[in-house]
Amino acid sequence: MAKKILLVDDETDIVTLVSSRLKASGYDVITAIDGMEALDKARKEKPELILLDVMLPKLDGFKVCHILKFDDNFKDIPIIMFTARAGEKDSKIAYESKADDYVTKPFEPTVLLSKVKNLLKEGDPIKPQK
Amino acid sequence: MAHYKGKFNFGKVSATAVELVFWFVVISTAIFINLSPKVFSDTKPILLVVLYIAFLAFILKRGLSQIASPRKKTLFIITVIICTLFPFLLIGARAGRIAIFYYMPLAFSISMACLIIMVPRVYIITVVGISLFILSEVFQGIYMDSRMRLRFPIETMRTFSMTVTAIFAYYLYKKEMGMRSELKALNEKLKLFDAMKSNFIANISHELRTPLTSIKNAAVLLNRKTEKSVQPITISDKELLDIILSNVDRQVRLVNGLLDLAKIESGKLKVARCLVDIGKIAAEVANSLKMQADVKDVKITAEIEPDLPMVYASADQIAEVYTNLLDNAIKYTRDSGRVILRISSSSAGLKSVIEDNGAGIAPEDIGKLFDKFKRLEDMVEHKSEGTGLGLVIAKEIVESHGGKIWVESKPGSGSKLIFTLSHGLRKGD
Repeated sequence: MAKKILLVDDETDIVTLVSSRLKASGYDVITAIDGMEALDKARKEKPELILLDVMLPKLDGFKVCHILKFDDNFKDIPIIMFTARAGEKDSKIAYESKADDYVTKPFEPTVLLSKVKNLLKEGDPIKPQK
Repeated sequence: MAHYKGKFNFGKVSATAVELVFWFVVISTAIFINLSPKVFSDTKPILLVVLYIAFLAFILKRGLSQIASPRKKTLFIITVIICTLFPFLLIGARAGRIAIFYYMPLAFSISMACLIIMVPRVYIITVVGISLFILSEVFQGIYMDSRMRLRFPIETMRTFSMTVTAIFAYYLYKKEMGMRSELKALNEKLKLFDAMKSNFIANISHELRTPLTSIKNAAVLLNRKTEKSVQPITISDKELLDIILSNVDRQVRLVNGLLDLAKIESGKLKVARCLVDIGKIAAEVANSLKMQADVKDVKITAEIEPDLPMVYASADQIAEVYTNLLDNAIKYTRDSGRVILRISSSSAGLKSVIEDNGAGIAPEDIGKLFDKFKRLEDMVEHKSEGTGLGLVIAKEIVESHGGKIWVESKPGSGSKLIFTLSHGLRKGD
């Protein structure tokens, strides 16, 4: 069964692109466009991994990450943050809010994919059925 | 005077006060010794002169370290020397009366010099102090009887003159401190401004990276699609290209916003001006925006009074004002709305009104319209379609032309953006 990834970004273009890339690699992708929806979907759908943007409406990515990581039911879901600000501040906060990894925008799709694979402990992405 | 600071952790001013007290105690002791006739000896004047020189050196060193400009340094040295030598000169004028070589010279110079350090407006205090001193000396002359005995307690006079000087100096000192706290507040404001700017730069870098991320990802996907061997990508080439194009546009808009910001910041808005027909300019702008209005099905009409007087202005900048205001009105008017541009002339000048029947603006938001930082914030938070700086630029331009710009709006019943320009020749601008 395809692994479920929750992709959270308020940029619809990025959601479209990243989700189609992930789908092409055989993942099941669900999306959310703000922090509240992300929390909602994470709780309902129990994804195996979360890709989380920092700058989100309603509730920012760090807070979403923090809330999930301090919840015993969800703390094991790996989270990759998309940070975009220059400087170390974001990566530091990402670390403090216990995100498992982060990529800096504009990220290389292959880098993101390899981080996803790494956190899902897969050697290779799941090949779609031919 | 590190030992004072070390022990009590005084601020800079308190340290000065401690030094003052220290020297006051030393000199008072010297004066006390000198005043008591029982211990009178010939060495006393020498002791006082040594103290005087030491004190002079200390004052000069302390004062000079706080003054930056060479001109002020010279003035300071001269003032200190005159202030401190002045009493000696007076004494010298009364030859043979060495007994007066007590109290006044050193005490006076101490108070003066300490005040010189603490208060910048030293000249006023010097004048007040010296006048009072002379006054007390004059009184001394008047009240001296034939046997050279004082009828009037001259020490009281001197103490009085010094007290008044000190109070006056304290008043000036307080005033100076008030000014410093004002400066401090201003400094805090600037710091805040700087923090806002840094924050803005951080946000804008985020904003600039976002479209790049989309462009890059779309390009990578397009590239992948050319390699037939890999997994199929569901998204079409057209969609990917659309994403790339719209994000390039967005990037351009952001960069334009930054350039606009730079324009406002560097005050480059003052350019060559001549007599222009703003009615003609406005009509041209309204015409050029027709297409944009048509897309939204917004009806744009211009009601421009004929034979408007010419205005001394920059044609490009005035065109930019109309473009920004009309563009803004079109953007915030609901579909199939209307935008009316009215220009009329009165004795006060030319009044342009850009009226729309959009959603209107809440009273609490009106102030934010022209707030550069608020607009920038909205820009990074995607609350506005463009850079949001159009109104800010319009305001800058109108104000640099000596005009005024304001908004009249009620939520639900559209809004009016109004600006005025005075007509005729205004070469002074």
